[in-house]
Amino acid sequence: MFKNKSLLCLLVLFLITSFGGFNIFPEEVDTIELKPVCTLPSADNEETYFRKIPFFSVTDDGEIFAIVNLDSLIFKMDRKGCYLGKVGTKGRGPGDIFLPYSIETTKDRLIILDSIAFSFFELNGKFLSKFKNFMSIENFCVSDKHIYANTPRADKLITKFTYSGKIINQFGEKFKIDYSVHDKINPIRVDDHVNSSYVLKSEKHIFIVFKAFGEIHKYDLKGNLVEKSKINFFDKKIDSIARKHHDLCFKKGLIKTVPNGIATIDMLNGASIYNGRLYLMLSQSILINPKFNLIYVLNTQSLKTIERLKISNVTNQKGYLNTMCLAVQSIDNIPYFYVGTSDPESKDLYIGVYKK
Amino acid sequence: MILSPYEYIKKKIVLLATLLLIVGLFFIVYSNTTDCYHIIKNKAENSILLKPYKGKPTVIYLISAANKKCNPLYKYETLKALKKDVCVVFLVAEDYTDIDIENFRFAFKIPEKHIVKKIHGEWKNILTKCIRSDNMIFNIVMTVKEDGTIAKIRRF
Repeated sequence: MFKNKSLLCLLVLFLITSFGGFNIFPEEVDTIELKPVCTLPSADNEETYFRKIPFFSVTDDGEIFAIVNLDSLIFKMDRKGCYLGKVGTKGRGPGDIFLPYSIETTKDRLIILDSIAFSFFELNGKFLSKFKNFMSIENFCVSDKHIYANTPRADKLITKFTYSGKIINQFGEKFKIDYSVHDKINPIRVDDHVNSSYVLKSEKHIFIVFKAFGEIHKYDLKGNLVEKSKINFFDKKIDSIARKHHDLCFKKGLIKTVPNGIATIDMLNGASIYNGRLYLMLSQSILINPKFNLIYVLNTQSLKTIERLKISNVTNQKGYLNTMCLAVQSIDNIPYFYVGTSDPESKDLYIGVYKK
Repeated sequence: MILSPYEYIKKKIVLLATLLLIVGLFFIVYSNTTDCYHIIKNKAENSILLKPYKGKPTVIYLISAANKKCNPLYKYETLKALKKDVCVVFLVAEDYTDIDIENFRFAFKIPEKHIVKKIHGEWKNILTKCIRSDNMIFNIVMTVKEDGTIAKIRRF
């Protein structure tokens, strides 16, 4: 009898695994260590400085436009980190920038999102146009004609604009939240945390990557949902943290801090898309004493993790390097990884450049 | 009674002047009732009086910039839901384009009955004075009673 039961269990196990019902023994993925190339701005560049970890965008030619949020400035650097000039001036009028926080480049345009508006510039810094921002846009991605803005406080997560500011449509379902589990926390704060995400665009799809627990929703360009998927981190510890974050958002409730904050950390703090791959940077704050940081590479078709990229030496005597904002760009057919970084020991803020 | 030519001309001039005065007064009154966002500064009482829109209690928002995350419209949602007879007027900064106004209405779900128009005249001066800060963006909300006195002014 016992023998029969064991055989039956083995048979069921075999059937489940062979039909792909769920994968009990996940395949491992390669982990490739990234090699540091340089840090930007270059040492002889005295004009460029950052007061916060910079957000930036890298053009096809390798030129970098980096935000200095507190000074309402955009610095332009060449691929070696040499200063090329500033874009915009601080203010609220045409061609002015006021507390910018997100930036994208196309082949011929620089698009800056600040607290007031989207501003359009040529890559040489010449102002083109602007339209106002009313929708609490967190970040955005661009095509040749449209802007896909991440609007977590609107009814839908994505608002599609033309370059002139006309709204084409809205799509992207928000998570339904049971606010009663979040004891004494403002529902707006809960909503902000749960639906906080990156929006990325490939040739045919839009991806919404949720920062809090690492879930991806894939839409076609018309706004129809194609697929939902959870990131497989291929690490028991990280996977369990992702599950814990998910439970906090939907079952147990977020933890309140004084006076009106919430004690949560995002799973992800950088995302980029390049050449049919999604690059998602782990927030190392979720790990205690991290020895390295990881960038997960996912196939945009299958949304499966295909490899991990490792950034070593992230810890020094004062703590670990805090990284934020990731961009991937190919220069002379070699992909380079740009990571916004703050060093607690030297107190330097810079863009670290890595390659495989 | 036969009037002398001099008296006849005098009477005609007085009549014409009276007519012109009546037409002028009618024009002033009419224009004030259709677009009555004019401030009357009462120096003696050191207060500002203004006429409410068509005699209704009115809430006037002076908008410099309104990003839904950091600077939502102060109590507009409550006002919209609970006080349906209140007239709401949004006076937006001069550089707002038609698309900006359209997007502003869309983002805050402002119904057609609430007015959104570009700022002008004395209002512009008030807004300019109140948002002088370099690092913050301020808007203003004013609650106007039926008699035209301001019940409340708040910067947000």
